[in-house]
Parts: sequence; C-alpha cells; structure tokens
Amino acid sequence: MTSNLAVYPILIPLVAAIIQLFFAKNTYVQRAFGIISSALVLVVVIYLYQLVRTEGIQVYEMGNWYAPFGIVIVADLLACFMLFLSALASLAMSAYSLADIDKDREKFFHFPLFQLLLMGINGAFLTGDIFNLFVMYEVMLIASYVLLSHGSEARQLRGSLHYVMINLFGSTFFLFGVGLLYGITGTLNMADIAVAVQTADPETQSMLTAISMMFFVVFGVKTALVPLFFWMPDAYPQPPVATAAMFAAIMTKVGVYSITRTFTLMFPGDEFTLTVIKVVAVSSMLIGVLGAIAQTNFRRLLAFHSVSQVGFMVLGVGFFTPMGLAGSIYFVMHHSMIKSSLFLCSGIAERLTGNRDIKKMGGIIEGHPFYSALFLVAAFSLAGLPPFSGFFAKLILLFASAESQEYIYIAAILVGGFLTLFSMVKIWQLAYWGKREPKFNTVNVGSFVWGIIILVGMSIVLAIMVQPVYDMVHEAAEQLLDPSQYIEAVLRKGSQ
Amino acid sequence: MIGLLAIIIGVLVATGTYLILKKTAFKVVLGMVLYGQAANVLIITMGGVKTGAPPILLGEDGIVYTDPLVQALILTAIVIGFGVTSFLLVLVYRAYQAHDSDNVDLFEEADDK
Repeated sequence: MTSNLAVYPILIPLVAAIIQLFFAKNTYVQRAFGIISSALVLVVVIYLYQLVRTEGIQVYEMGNWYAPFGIVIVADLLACFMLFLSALASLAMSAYSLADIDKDREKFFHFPLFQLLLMGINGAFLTGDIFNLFVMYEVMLIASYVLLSHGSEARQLRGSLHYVMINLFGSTFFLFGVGLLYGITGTLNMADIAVAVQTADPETQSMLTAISMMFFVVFGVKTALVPLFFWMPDAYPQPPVATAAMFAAIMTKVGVYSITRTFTLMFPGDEFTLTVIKVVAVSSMLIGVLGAIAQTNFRRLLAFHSVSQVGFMVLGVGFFTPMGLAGSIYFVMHHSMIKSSLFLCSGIAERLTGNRDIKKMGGIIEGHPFYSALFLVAAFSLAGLPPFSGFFAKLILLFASAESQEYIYIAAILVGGFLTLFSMVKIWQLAYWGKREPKFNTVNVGSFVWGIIILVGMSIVLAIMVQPVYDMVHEAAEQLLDPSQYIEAVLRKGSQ
Repeated sequence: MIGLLAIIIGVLVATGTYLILKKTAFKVVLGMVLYGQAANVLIITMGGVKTGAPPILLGEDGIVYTDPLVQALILTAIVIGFGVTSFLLVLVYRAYQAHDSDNVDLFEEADDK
C-alpha cells in the first residue's frame, strides 16, 4: 500500500531544524519548535502503526521511482516501534533540556542539531536501501559528532575525538561492505538484495557470509558490542546529560535495529552467523557488566551497562525465533526508556553534588525523596527485579533460550542480571544513602524531573501492559521472520 | 585493469592501517583519509571497469553502457568524507590547543583527575 505518511518522521525534524535556524537568536521559539516536532512525530508514528497493522507494510517511493531503481522508505512494524521510541525519548529529552542546556550551547544551535540527529535516526529506521542507510547513518553521526564536542571542554574533546575516529572507521568499513555487496548482487535495495542472496549460487555464498560479517562489525561499532566498545565509556560521560541520554536511548538502538534488519531480511538464518552473534552477545553481556562494577564515575558506569544491555538485545536476534526476536524488541523498548532516565538521574545527582564520582556523593535521598524514588524504580527495572519492565524483558529472553534448548544462555542472562543488580545497589548505597555531604548545591529538582517522569512512567506502563505489548512485539517478530512480506511490499511494482 | 586497482586498494588500506595505529592524532586523520579513498576505489572497481557508452538509453541493441550508479555512490561518499574529515581536523586542532600536545596518550593523562 503506497502512502506518503512513512516519510513524515524524517521530514518533520528536518523542517523543525530549518525553522529553528531562522530563529537563531530566539531560543524560546527554538525550544517550542523542538517539543512540537517531537510530539508531532509521536502522533504520526501512532497513526502509521495503525495503518501498517490494518493495511500492511507502507512503502513510499522517493520521486516515484519504483523499487529497485529508486530509493524507498519502508515502514513495517519493527520500524514503527523504533520510531515510537525515538519520538518518545526525544520528547522527554526536550523537556529535560529546557532546564539542563546552558545558554551558550543554546545560542550555538543545540536545538537544531538535536532535530537533525532525530532526522538521521528516523531515516535509518525507515530506509529500504542499503546505501541510503549509510547516508542516514552519516546524517545521524555528523549531528552527534557536533553535539558531543559542543562546548569543547578539554576532556570532552578527548571523548569526542575517540568517538569520531572509531565511527569514521566504522563508516569506511560500511562503504567497503556496500561496495562488495553491490559487486555481487548488483543492487542496493534491501528487498532486492534479499532476493539476490536467496537465489545466489553456492560459490558466492561464502563471500556473502563474509560481507554479512562486515556489516555485523560495522553495526557492532555503532552499538558498542564487546570487542569494539571502548569508545563508549569515554564518550558518554562528557556531553550535557540530555545529549548523553539521547545517545544511550536511541543511538545505540539504531545499531541493534540494523543488525536485526540485516540478519532477518538480507542474510537470514545462517547457522554460522547466528553462532557468532550469540557468542558476541554473551561476551558483551558479561564483560560490560563486569566493567560497570569496577567504575565509580556515575555516567561511565551507566555507559558500561549499555554495553552489557545491548548484548541482551542482540542475543534475542541470535536465537532467530519469534520469541527471541520479540524479547529483543521488548528489551529495546524497556532499555531505551530506563537507560535514558538513569542518565537523566545521574545529571541531577551531578548538579546536586557538583561531582561525577559516586564515592564523593552521598545522602541525596535526604531532601529529595521523590527524585531518589524515581532513580530506585529505574535502577531496579534495569536490574530486572519484578514487577518492573526489565523483569519481563529478561523473562521473555529466558523463555526464548529455553524454547531453543540452549540452556547456557539462561545461565548467562541470570548472571548478567545479578551483576547488574549488584552495581545498581552500589550506586544506591554510595550516592543516595549514607552521610549527606555538607556542600550541596541548591538545585530546583522539580524543573528536571518531568523528563524522567515521562520515561519511568512509560516503562511502568510497559510492565503493567506486558501481555498486550508482548502480543504486539510478537506480531512484529513474526513479520520479521517472514521476509517475503517485506519483499513483496517493496518490489510490488517492479515485478509487474 | 582490475588487478591494478586491487593492488592500489591494498596499498591504500595497508598505509592507512599503519597510520591509524600511530599515536599522533594528525597521522590517524591521514590514515582515515586513505581508508576513505580505498573504499571509493573499491566501489568503482565493483561496478566493473570498462569503457562503454554514456548510460543514456537510445533503444539501440548491442551497446555496452558504463555503470552510472557507482559514480553516484562515490560522489556521495566523497562529499560525506570531505565534510567529516574537515570536522575531524578542527577537532584535532582544538584538542591540540586544549592539551598542548598532539599525542593521544597525553590526552588520557590530562583527564584522569
């Protein structure tokens, strides 16, 4: 079904960014347009989701050049879920950054950059063309480079230098992969590539597996999977909290999304690749959380946790069953809400104590019980305690590994969850309990918590509505495991 | 011709890797530039190197056309690479000003307080 609704999540942030640039001096107008744009995307995405459910996958052909010749924008159920998350997170971050971003950054185009980042992210979720995916990645990354180094404090420069270099390296690798894939299949449209890979003769099969592994490396760099994660704990503690939270909420998930898309649509179900994915995922889960335990810098600890949690999501993809993929999508939803709210909490703690080290914090709960309770809910949810969303996310993955009779992953998930709980309790004890440090800054916490309330509230909804949400993600997972739906929707006109 | 291009890609990647492993930030940037060029040459090789007619369909049979798509891809990649490289150069220069050194290791020491 052709409808141009699918292109709006890319267009709205772009238009918002352009309008914001016209009001370069007036930051109030910029803020207003930022929030309007995020809210508008949220509404469009909910409507788009309804449309995809009732009428099937939505395809928009750019300039009316039908696939595989033109670039297509494709919205399926998974893309809708990811778009919903990016809109929700950006709304919460916009609310938080009203109070958080300082005047200088505001004057130097923080808000337009944020909208361009959103445009790149949404574009990466929607595009149905592998080279266009590269371009959307670059749009997203360039905006994130600037946001990360914005302000150029000395230590911020180092973190962003690492980040830019590793991502530039990843992008070059991406280009290598795209070039090789084009040489073999002769097309860049993802659906068309899927057809070409299915019908490829056995001689080129090994070459295709090698290319798929190249893509795995590229997306592994962007999501910070285990051997390639070192940039993340350096980069995330540096920028303003709202930016770091947005990166943690959505930017890492773009990589998870791309891994899901690549290994369900283009290179589905290859035994070797799935094993590699699962091994990498488990090592991420364990090494990331062990790294987190050793840290005392609040945000660096959370960044290490992201490495660990991404492992859980990718593990779900590695099972390659409806339940595994459903668990992965549910985990992505849970994590993008909870991790970003934890980052926002760390921002408030830094403001209150004027410190980034949890050893030098202490006694935050005194005087700020409501905010501390929000942190506790988010922390327990991340650790996977019932009745919060993290519990159900891990439960689905446990069921999925039991279903595929791979019991070693059950042990890995449980150990990972336990160690997460340990490090969360460590933050709670050192920063929130304990003796109150004498020199607290006075901060109007009330103006910050709105963003956190949105995110934690949504994660609680996710936990209460677990059955309906599970049905929804299960439907999306089944759609992913039946790539013929996607291929038919995209190549409909070309075959006539 | 393809063999020659393959050798060129190999040399570019090898040199780029050598430079990326250096500790001087500026040399790493140069390595990245070489990597980008290698990727571009690779893409044009994958399009098939041949002399052919311009890719405008005239309805005549038996004409070999050159592949226009690879050139469009490289054009996009060059533009993106150019933008990111110039941004990276500015970033390296700012880091050099802030730390008074171009050595990546010294950056670390300055921050671990």
